[in-house]
Amino acid sequence: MTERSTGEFAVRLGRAAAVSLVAGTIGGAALLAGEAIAPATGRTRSRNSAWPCVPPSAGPAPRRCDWCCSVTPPRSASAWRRSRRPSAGNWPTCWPRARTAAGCTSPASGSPAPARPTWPPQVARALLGERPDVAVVLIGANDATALRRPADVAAYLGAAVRRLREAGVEVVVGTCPDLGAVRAVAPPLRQVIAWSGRRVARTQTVAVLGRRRHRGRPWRRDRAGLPGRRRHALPRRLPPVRRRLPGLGARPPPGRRGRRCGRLPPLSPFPPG
Amino acid sequence: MFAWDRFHPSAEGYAVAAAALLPTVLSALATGQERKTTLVRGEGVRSLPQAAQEAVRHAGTEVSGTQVSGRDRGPAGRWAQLRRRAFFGVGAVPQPGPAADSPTLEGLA
Repeated sequence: MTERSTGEFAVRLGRAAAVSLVAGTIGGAALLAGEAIAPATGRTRSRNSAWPCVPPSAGPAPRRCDWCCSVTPPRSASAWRRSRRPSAGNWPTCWPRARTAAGCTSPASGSPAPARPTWPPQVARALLGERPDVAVVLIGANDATALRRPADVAAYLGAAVRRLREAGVEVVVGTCPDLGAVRAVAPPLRQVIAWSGRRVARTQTVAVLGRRRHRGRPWRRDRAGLPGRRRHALPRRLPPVRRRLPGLGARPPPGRRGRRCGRLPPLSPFPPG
Repeated sequence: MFAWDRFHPSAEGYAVAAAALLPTVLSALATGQERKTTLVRGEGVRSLPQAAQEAVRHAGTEVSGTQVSGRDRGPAGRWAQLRRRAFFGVGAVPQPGPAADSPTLEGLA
């Protein structure tokens, strides 16, 4: 009788734990979804009045705000050259030799990796004309809040940085900011976006400083310029190993036995004795 | 630090970000004397994944590639150096960990 009541208690306890786990998971997901949706809708309502950097208060807007947001990059090369003149009006007078560009976004997640490394058009514009001394790349929060794959984001940034470095430009990159400092986001969601931002920033740091090549690019090109030599390099090294295992692979012709083995003696496919 | 919408930086926030970036930009503009110095392992020098891990936990940390005994790479990847610079009278923030009083801390004020 006691064993039966103990068994029933264990079953009830397990059932209660399972129900609590499911309810907690659903409730947490709903809470995060609610927190993610609520600021977005609130921001959409006030989008027409002030977006994103124009202060709502009356009075003259600070010049620094104009510099950071409202300078749009010219669309053509000739327009870019015209805009470099001081009289173009597109240029803040306090930064006479600086070129600014804004609004660069990485390609959407899930898109196939391009065959050649691509970089944002701002990089090409920055290298147009006189070569700049230093390029400052500031990463925003869109990649982290959209939960894009850090590898894609970092590969895009790394390709841009490598392009600038190949042109002889010093590059300073401000990686994804610490999103945990945004007090407007309620705590559970704030921890999630802080984790996402740290993950993106860590991957970007490694991609900028490391010399890893672009993901879609073949590792090595052969003499004819066709990709995929690396793919053939591995089986060429395999036969010396495969020959040592009886039953694996074809036996090499007798005249070439042991030629590729270096200092190893030629091996017999049959065990001694 | 934040604008009225509480999501975007305010003018003051952009100024702080620029102040954090400007010493690094000035260092990049300078000739490479500082960057070519060969460092001993331990003076804020980590492998690149470890340096990236530490840098994302402390905002404002500069990570730059460096050499250890004449080599760019170590067993765990490329060598990287962590720096925290000071600007405009703000004192240098001590680095966390055992390299708190390392000579790599520098102030450009």
